[in-house]
Amino acid sequence: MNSLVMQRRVALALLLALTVGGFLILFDGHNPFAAYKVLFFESFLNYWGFSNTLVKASPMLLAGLAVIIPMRAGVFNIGGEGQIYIGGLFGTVFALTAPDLPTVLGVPLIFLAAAIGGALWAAIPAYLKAYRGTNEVIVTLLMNFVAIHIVSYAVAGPLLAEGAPYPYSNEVAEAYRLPIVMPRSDAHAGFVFGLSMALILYFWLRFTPSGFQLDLVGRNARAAAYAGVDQRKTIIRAMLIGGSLAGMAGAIEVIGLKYRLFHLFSDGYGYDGIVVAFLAALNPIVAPLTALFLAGLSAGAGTMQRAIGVDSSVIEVVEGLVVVFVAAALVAPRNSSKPILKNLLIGGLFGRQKHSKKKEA
Amino acid sequence: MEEFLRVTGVGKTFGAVRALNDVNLLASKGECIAILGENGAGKTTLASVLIGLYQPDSGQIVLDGVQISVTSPAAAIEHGIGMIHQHFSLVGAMTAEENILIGLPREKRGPAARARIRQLCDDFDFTVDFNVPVAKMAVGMKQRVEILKALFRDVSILILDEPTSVLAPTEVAPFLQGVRKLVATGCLVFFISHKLDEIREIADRVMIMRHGRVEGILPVASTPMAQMSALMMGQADADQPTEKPNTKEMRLDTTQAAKALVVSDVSLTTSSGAEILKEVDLTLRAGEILGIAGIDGNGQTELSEVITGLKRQTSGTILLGDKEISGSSIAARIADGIGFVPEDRHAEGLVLSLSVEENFAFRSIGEDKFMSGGMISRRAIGKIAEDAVKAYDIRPSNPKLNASALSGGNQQKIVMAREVARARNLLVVVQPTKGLDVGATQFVQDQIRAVAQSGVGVLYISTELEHVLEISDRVAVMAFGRITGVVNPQNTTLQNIGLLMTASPEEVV
Repeated sequence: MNSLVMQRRVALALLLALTVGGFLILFDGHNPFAAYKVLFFESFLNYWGFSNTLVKASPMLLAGLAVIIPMRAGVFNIGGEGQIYIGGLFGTVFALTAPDLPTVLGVPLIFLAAAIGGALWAAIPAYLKAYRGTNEVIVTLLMNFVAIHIVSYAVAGPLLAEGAPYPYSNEVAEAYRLPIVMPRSDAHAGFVFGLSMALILYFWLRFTPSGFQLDLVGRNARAAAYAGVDQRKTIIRAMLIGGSLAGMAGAIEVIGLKYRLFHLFSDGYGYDGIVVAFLAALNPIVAPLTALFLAGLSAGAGTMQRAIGVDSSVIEVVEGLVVVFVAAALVAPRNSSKPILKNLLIGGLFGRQKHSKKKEA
Repeated sequence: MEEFLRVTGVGKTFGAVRALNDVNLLASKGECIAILGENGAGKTTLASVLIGLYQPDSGQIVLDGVQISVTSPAAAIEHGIGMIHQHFSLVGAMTAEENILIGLPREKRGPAARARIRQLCDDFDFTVDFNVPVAKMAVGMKQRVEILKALFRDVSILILDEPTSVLAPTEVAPFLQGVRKLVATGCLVFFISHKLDEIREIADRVMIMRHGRVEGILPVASTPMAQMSALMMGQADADQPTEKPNTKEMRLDTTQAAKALVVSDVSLTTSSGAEILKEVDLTLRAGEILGIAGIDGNGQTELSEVITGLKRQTSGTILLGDKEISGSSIAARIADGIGFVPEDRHAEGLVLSLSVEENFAFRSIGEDKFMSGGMISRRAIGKIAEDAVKAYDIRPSNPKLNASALSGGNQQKIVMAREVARARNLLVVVQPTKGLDVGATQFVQDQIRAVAQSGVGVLYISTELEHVLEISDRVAVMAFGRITGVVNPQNTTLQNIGLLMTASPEEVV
C-alpha cells in the first residue's frame, strides 16, 4: 500500500480511537474536551509533564524501531521486551565492571554492550526463523519471560547491591550517566539518541542498497531471491539490528533514568514498541512522533485523573482502541479511497479481505 | 432473444483512469459472449463489477427483470453469478470435493452433495480425480474443479477470465467442449479471451472493448476476424499494414557465431529424489534465439532457474561465453549480463507494492547507474524509469505509481524493459507472452528479436508452441526433464514436435 494512504488511514484511526474514548469519558460523567485538554496540556505543554513524556518516549521509540526494522524484512519481533532486559543487563554489567573511563568513551561502550546483549538475545529466534522455519512470534514472545527472569535472578543474586532492601544493582558511576536535556527534570538525552537512530535507519532503508534489499525481502521474498538477495542473511541481519535497538533501550533506562538495574525495570516498553511501530506505519522517521504521542497519553493519564476525576484506566482503553483501529486501518481493503471511514469500521473490523491471499492451488 | 441480463450505463473510475465508460449490454440465457480487448481495455473490471468485487460508480444491472446490486462475490453467487479467475482460488491440500463444498453449511455437504458433484461431472464429461489433493492435479483438472465449484452453487451466469491461457494445448479442446455443454444447458457464459480462433470456435457474440468502452457487440459467425481485431486495436492502428517483414530472413546466420551459453550434462534432483532435469545439453550462440518447447512442467522452468542461478544444479556445468558460472551466485550472474524474465511476473518479476521506477531498479540496486556518491539516487532511478516508460510506451506513464496499478501487459513491459537493458550476453525469457493480448505479444516478440539482433543469445522458453516456432532459430523440445530433440522450425512438422514433447523417458534414453 502506498505509504501516504497508509499514514492517512492511521491518522484517521487515531481520531476514531480518541472519539470513542471521548464517549467513554462522557458516559463516565465528565466533559471529554476538558479531559483531553488537560491530558494534552499536561503531557506536551507543561514543562514537567513534557519531561515526563520524554522519559517514557525514549525507550518506546527505540523499542518501536526494534519492531520496524525486522517487520520491514517480514519478521515480527515481539521480543523487544526481552531484548530490553538483556540489553539492560549487559549495559549494567559493563558499567559496573569497567574501569574509570571518560563519559565520551564509557557511555558509547555501555550502549555497545547493551546492543550486543539485545542482538544476542534476538539471534536465537533469528537463527530458528531463517534456518529452521520456526515461527518467530512464538519464540520471541516466550523468550521475553526467560529474559525477565534472568534479570530478576541477576539483581537478586550476583548483582544485588549490598544492603539493598529490594532486588537492584549498585549505582552506575556518575560519568556513565546520560546528560539531562531539560534542567531540573528527569528528561535525559535518550530521546535525542533515539531520534538520531530513527533518522539513520530511515536513510539506510531509503538510500542504501542493503537497506533497500531488506525492505525487498519483506515486500516480496521471491522477487528478492530473483534479485539475488539472500533471504536468510537478511532475516538475521534485520533481527540483529532490532535486538540491538531494543537492547539500547534497556541501557537508556539504566543509565538515563534509574542509574541501577532493577528487577522488572521495563514496564512493557517492548510491547509499547509494537504500537509505536504500527502507528508509524513502519516508517522509522514517523516513529519519534508516535512514540511521543503514546508516551504523552500514558504520562498525562495520571494528571488527568487528578484534575478532572476521569479514571486513568480510560486512557488505557484509548491505547487499546488505538491498537484495534490501527490494525483495522492496515488490513482494510485497498484501492478504495472514497469511503475510508466505512472501510475502517466495516471493511477492516468485520469485513472480508478482498485481496486476501488465498493459497493458490 | 429473451432478455436475461441487462447492463446499462455502467461506469467505474479509478483515480484519473476511466476503467469503464457507459457500458451497455443485453444478454440471454444459453449464450456465450466473448469479451475481447487489449490489456487494460476494461474486460476484467467489467467482470469484477458483475461479481461484486468492485461497485460501479454509475449504471444498473438488471437480472431477469429485477434490478440487482451486487455488493460482494457472495452476493453474486446468490444471484447465480460466478467467475473463474485466471489464478485459481483452490486450497491445495484439499481434495476436489472438499474444495467444491468449502464454506457450505454442514447439511449441504452430505452424501447427496457428493453424488451431485459426480452427476455434474457426468453431465459435462469432466474428468476429475477425487482421490488426490488439488495441489497434485494438472492445471486443466484444477480448472474443472473451479468450474464445478461454480456449477454446484447453481450459477446461471459464468464468467471465464482467460480460461485457456493456463491450459496445455491438448487440454483446450476438451475444455471448450465442456463450455459448449454448459451453454447448451442454458447457462450464460462470458468468455474473456485474447485468442480470436477460440472466440470463433466457442462464442455466439463477441463484445469488443477498448479504453473502457464497448466498441461493438457483434455476432461472431458473420464478423470477419479482421474487423474484430480492427475494433479492438482502434481505427488508427487498423490502417497500419498488418504484414510484417519476415524478420527471420533478415536475421544473421548465427551458426558460426561465438557461443553465448553452453549447458553441459546438467541434472537437477530434488531432496525427495525426483529427477527434474536429466543430463541436459544445450549450446546457444550469440545472436541466436533458441526456443524451448514442451508441455508445462517438464523441467523448462527449472532449467531457466538453474541457468540464472535461482536453483543450483545437482551436477553438470554451465558456461557463459568462456566463463564458467556453474557455481556463481544470482547477483554475480546479474552482473555478468544475464537478463531473466521469469514466468510469474506478479510473484517474482515485480514487487507490486513498489513504484514502477523502483521496479526498474530493485534487481540490481547497487549498480553504479542507480547510485550517486555511495547512495541510492532516486533521481537517477526516476530518469532511467522515465526513459524506459517512454521507449516501451508503458501506461499509465507515471513512474511513481505502484506497479500494482498497471495492467498485466504493461507490467510485463516493465520486466522486459529492465531485463533487456541488462542482457549483455544472455537473455532468458519464460512464458513472456502469457496472458498478453495480440498487440502486447507482438511488442514483446519484437523486443526479443531486437535483442538477438544486437548479438545477445536468447533462450525462449514457452508452452505456446506457435510463438516458439515463430520466433526461434532452433527449437529444443523438452519432455520429462530431458531434451528430446532439437529441430529447425522451418522444416519440421507439428507431428514431429508433438512426438518429441510426449516422448516417454524410455524412448529417449
